[in-house]
Amino acid sequence: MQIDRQESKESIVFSLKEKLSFKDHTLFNEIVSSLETEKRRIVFDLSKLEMIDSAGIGMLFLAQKIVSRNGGTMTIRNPQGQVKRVFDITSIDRQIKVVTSEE
Amino acid sequence: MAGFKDPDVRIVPFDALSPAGSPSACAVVAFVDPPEDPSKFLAPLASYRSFLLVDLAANDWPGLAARVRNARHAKICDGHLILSTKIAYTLEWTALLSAFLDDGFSFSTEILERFQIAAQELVTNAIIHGNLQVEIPAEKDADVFARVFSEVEDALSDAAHAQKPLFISLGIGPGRVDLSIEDQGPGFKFSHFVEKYNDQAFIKGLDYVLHTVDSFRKASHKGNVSIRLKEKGAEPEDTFDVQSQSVAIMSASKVLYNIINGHLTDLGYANIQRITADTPSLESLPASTAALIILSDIPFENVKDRLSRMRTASNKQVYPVLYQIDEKSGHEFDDDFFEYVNEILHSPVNFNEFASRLKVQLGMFQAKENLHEKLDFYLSELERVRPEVQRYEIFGSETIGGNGVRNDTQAPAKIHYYGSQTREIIADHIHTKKPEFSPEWYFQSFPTIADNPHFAAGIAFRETGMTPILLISRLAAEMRTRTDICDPDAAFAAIKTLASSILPAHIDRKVLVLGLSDAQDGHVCFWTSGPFSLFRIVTSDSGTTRITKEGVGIVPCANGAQRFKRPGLYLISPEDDFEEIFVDMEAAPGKDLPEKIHNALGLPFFALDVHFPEDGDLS
Repeated sequence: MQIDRQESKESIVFSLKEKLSFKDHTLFNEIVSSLETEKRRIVFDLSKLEMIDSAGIGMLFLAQKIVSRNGGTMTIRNPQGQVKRVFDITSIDRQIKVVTSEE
Repeated sequence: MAGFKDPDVRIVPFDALSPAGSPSACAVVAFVDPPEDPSKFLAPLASYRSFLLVDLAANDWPGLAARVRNARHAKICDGHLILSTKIAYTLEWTALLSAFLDDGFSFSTEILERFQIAAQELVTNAIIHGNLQVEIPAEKDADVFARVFSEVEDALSDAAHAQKPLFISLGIGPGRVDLSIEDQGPGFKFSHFVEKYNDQAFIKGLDYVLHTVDSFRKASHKGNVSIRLKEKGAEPEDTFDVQSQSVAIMSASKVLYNIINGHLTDLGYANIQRITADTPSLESLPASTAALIILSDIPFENVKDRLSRMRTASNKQVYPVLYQIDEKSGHEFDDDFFEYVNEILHSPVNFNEFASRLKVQLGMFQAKENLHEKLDFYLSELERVRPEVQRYEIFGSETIGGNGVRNDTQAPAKIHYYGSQTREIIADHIHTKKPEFSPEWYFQSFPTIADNPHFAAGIAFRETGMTPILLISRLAAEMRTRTDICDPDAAFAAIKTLASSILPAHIDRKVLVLGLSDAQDGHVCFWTSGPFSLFRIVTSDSGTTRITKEGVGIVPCANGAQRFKRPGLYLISPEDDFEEIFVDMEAAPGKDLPEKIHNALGLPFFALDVHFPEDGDLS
């Protein structure tokens, strides 16, 4: 997995690329650790993420848990292809905000 | 490997593979160290009729490769990978297989995405849970991921685990792709991981698989899973072993089908087929199909159409088992349901002798809309496929579900039901369409008996320790061996003798009620081994219900049996301390009638609804 990070005054956008699976947890955990005291809005842009599995979904829920605990908000943006299909069958949008546009 | 002369087989180093020279060519690719970019040599493999890709670090591969040679189900291409656990974990094989499918075949985006989702979860499970035996807790946090990752890495550093083989087989046919994965683990019990039909339960990778694939099979006691995905409208291929007993499941929802399938594999069934509304023909059902489980998540009209088409099909004997579920309620497929299915499929009936063994079962219905039409239809279907059935055994109660198993060889059909509405429909069906039938009603709590002169009903005293059904079964079996059964008095003498021998001696106050009637005078007798009280439930014109002690409504018989003199609803209790009792049921506490009666009387009782062919007293 590759991660790009863009920050502004109001938000932090993490753009994930390639895949998010079990073997990527160490790198993802580094992102999550940095959110422990973060108050800005967190966005995960998945427009270039090609594949996600159940472990990857679990990591997103973990990030949501930490952000919520801190009083922040988290959004997932533009899932595509296989990732979008996983989102559809898991109905992840019932628990995490998912948007399909720049927000 | 020099010297191999078969022109249709090429054995090459992995980086020297070229496209196949003929449509029947097979490729065997072996390697010690994996290539940095395996996709470079996977693309040419799509041109081969079949391929075998072998990681030489996987131990025992020569013997296992021989087994792979026999696994040919595809029409277009089949490929087999034998990988060591370490290589399987290190390289992204599911992405590679997806790319292989995408490059070499014209599958839809939907199939490719679904394949990648399912294959990823299955391969991960086979590696981590199967070969490495590492468990992942359901509740995940950052520490859990780190801990599991560390365990996996530790296990892979041990050559014994790293070299364990993992088999991946890919089969490609017209519009479909099959994937099989075999690991060296002990397998898993489906019910441990999928306990509910619940579209919110996306915790385990298996949930993703069940919601993605069109069919799912697993071996019962080893790590072996197969899935199939197919394009809409693609013809199903019959790849099942037609010799062994199979089960067909008709369901609109592949999730439900996969769940039922998984549980049936836990029970040891390996030959399960799914029928959908799109299945063009039922001819593919093996002749040995033992059961057809119809989940009513599909529209009733489709079921009717399907069963109607089966009528004109060749002489298929199927065994209808119908189970109604309510998706919206998040119905749980609990152990009782699967025990019920297993009981049907493992009954003493030899399914290869359908013509001579006459057992048909109709499953449980819950009150739903169109209940009358559905029940009537299914009962008619049951009678059509089993014209030799002579009577029904009907289990249930007005308020609670019935249970009770009865093994009988006299052409019975067993019907379980819930609810008084269902019971009335069944009774109406029998009365109007099968008056010659002899329905037998067995109840746990509060019985009513169909208005039919050819009935037999029984209630046994619970303190015997036997279930009512068991006791009556034994008695009935004994009675049927008696040539003088046409004489009710003699019959009751026989029952009394038999009952005395089977009832525990220390219970000296027993009431056994067994009703018999025949077409001639329709009387109902009962026998008791001790004192008893008889009550009658009377409903007045104003609707008030009361229980009164009955003193004159019975006629004693010479053999000690008592004969009911008039129809009505009676309660019989072994307690006889009451001289007079009058209870107004309207004021009695309790939710339903049996509870009210129990609370009002405060003593054990058995209820019997006595009917006669003609109203009025018997002289």
